[in-house]
Amino acid sequence: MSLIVRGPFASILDFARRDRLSGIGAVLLASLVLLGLIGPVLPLGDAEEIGVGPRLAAPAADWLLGTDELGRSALPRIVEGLRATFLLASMAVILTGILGTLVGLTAAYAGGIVDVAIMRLVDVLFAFPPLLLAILIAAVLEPGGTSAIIAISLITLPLFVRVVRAVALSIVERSYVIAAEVSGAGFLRVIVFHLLPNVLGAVIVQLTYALSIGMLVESELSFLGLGVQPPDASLGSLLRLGSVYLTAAPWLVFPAGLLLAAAILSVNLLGDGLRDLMDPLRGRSLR
Amino acid sequence: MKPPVIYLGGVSATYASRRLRDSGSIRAVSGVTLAIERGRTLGLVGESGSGKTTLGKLCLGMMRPAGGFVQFNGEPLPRNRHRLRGSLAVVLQNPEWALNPRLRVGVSVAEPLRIARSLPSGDVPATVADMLAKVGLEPVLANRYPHELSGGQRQRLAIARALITNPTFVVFDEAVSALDVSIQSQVLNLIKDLQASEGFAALFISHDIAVTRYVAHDIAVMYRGELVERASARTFYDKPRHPYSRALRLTIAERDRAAFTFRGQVEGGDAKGCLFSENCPWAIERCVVEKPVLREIGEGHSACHRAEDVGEA
Amino acid sequence: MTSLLDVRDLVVVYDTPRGRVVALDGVSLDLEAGETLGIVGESGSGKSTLGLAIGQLLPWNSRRLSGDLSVLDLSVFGGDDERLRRLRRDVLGFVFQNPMTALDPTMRIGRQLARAIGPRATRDSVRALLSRVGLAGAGRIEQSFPHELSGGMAQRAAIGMAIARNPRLIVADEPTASLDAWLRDQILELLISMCSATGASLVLLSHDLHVVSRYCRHVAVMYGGRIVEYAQRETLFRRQAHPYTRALLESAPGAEGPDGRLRPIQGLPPVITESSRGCAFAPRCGWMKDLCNDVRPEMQLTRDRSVLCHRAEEVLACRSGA
Repeated sequence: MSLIVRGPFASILDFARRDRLSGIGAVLLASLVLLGLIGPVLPLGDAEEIGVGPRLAAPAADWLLGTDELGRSALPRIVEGLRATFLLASMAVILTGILGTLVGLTAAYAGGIVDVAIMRLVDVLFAFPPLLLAILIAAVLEPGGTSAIIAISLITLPLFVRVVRAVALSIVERSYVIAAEVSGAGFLRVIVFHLLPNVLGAVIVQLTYALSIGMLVESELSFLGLGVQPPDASLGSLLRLGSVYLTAAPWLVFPAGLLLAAAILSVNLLGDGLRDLMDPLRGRSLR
Repeated sequence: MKPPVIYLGGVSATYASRRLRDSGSIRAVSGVTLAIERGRTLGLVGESGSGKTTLGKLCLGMMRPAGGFVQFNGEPLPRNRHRLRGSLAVVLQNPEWALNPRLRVGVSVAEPLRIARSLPSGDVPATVADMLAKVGLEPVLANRYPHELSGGQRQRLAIARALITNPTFVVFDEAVSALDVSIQSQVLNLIKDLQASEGFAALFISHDIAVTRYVAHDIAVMYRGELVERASARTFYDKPRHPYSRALRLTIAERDRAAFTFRGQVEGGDAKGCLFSENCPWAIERCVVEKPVLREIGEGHSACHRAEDVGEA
Repeated sequence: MTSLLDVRDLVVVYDTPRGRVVALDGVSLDLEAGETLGIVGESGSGKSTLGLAIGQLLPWNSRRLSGDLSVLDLSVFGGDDERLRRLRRDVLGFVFQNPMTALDPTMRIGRQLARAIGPRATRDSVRALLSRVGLAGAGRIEQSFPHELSGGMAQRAAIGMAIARNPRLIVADEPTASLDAWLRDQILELLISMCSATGASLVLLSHDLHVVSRYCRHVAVMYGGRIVEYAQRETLFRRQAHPYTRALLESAPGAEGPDGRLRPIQGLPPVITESSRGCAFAPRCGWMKDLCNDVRPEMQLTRDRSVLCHRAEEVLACRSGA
């Protein structure tokens, strides 16, 4: 509740103070996002300029993280890749979050045949191996950012629908929902006023998990060459190119790999903390 | 003569059985006929699982009867609840979830008004303030969130929300059961006063007879989905005409409890005889083979072959 | 002679995100072997905290500030974990409001009871235990899982768990709050008969003064984390020396005033954040004087009761309400 009432900063600080580990996650995530955002204006050099230095050069003053096989400076490319990965994954996840929440709420509140139909579809989606689904989509459409977004959406959609439905099912039984129905409230009013605000907490937690899955899927696709296409960079495509020169130029792989690991770790830590915060069994809640 | 606010004509209700292999259904209410007149409170008592809450849902149109019919002001209850907006209301048991935790309580209380659109929205805050005063709360509380309030305050707000559209019919389902004794009496007085001043018809569902007797004009007793006795509160308390009512009343009067041993419920509602016969110290041969029907006796109605004897004992 | 339960000036607080809450504000109590004591209070009065403290089952966010509680001369706050475990196992039995929390949902009743009895459990001893708690016809119930039992049967099984090792003291916290009135009587009678059969003592915690006094010889009324009146039930029902006890009896349905209306206690039960300076009931009390807000009342022992009120004698002398 305080997230809404007292303004976000006070409660985020409060939360970081209470829960050290997820506080670290939040700080790490915030700095990575910041790095991605201000990357283009930092004096790191041009990500796409070829021949800044010799090919596959070791780190030096002019190319802090070395150069790649075309002589491009690796540092601006990694920052650029981080930005692309974050951007793609979060766009996909936010869209999915909105869609999944609405679908989950509809399933829970409509019940009956609608519920069964939605949940079986979701089960089918969930049963697909994520990577296979992603490759399938990249093959049907064309490899690139759009198909990565669609793949991430389809993979994370079941996460939202299931969790939102489960939480909403317990809310549907509550007195205030029944009282609203008795006084004549329609479908939309119950969903928007009574169900949505009360599942938001669960959705936020789920967003963090979906974000880490999204980044992983994007990287996997790009690693396979089905995601972001050259000359654009993403962490996955950098890993792929770097892995070719693993022995000759290890500086190409490790920073990108570490950054990806750090990004996913920070999102997961934050998600764990948020989940604890909202877990009724722990007796603490967002108010 | 005006028709009763609520009229149930031989209403039955069933739930689909949850067990996989059992495709049958569980009968929650069977063949209940009763009427609630304007300005009257009917108290509905019985143990849990007796079908009280299902009957409340039927009256509110939250559930379709499997048999029989429900009339509201002499007309069939419409399938679309929106058409009756503002005329029906409910107050439920758990004060914990009485109000949406994400909304200021003033917004929650005003919701039925906004649904009914019976007032220009400029008048809503003043109406809410009036209503809060009526249930004994400071109007400034409207700006609080539910977690800042006590259980008793929340239950008052639930009552305020129910009554704000001036409904014709209100169901109170165990509305005071979760409250502490000292708060319970406050809320009971409130319900009784508001019922007298606003004149709505009410169904007051409770497992507690002492509480029901205090707020209700008439009392109906349910046993395993059937109505076994109906009488004015006074008659019911002084001279119950059904052995089961007697047992209930004795639990508050705290006498002779030993005469009754409840052997619990047995599945099925189509038994040939009286459902209560196996627990009944008055049972005779006839009770096992012939199902008693609700009949007028004295100043009330009882579904017992031996109602005369029971009343005189 | 050592008493079974000895509570001395116990102060227990909870640390919550919204600050400290005092649950027990100096409680003293004695219980002899074989006694039945009912503790009555509304939610927030501290009765459940007291019940949990008897087995040192207090939650992690609670702290004992001062005072002590001992069972058979062993302080439960003494820090001797092994002895505390033995105490819980052999001397104490707990029954809670919701039997489903006491029963393992994944285990058949028979096996759970066998575990409660201990290593020497046999099929016969489990059967005997089941019939002691009125669940004879044992075969079926032994094989049942908790969710297959009705509320009353589950509570009987939970009582079976509690008495499996013949405890000396049974603590029952609202054991019938989730049951219907007529099942309530059966369960409470079962508890009482268990106690008198084995000579165990009973502490029954409830919000209902009538229920408690029907089954327990002594009654303690709690308010605001303190015991405000303690007496034998007959004494307490004949006359009340504390305004709260009296108001509690007068506010219940069935005790309407001459105008046919209930006489509720005005206001709300308090949430105490520090040891109260005066009397916790003063803001709601019809007998309140300046003294009550400023001077903390201490327990007075009169001829037949203990009472925590500055004006107890006047209250006692007055026949009806203030």
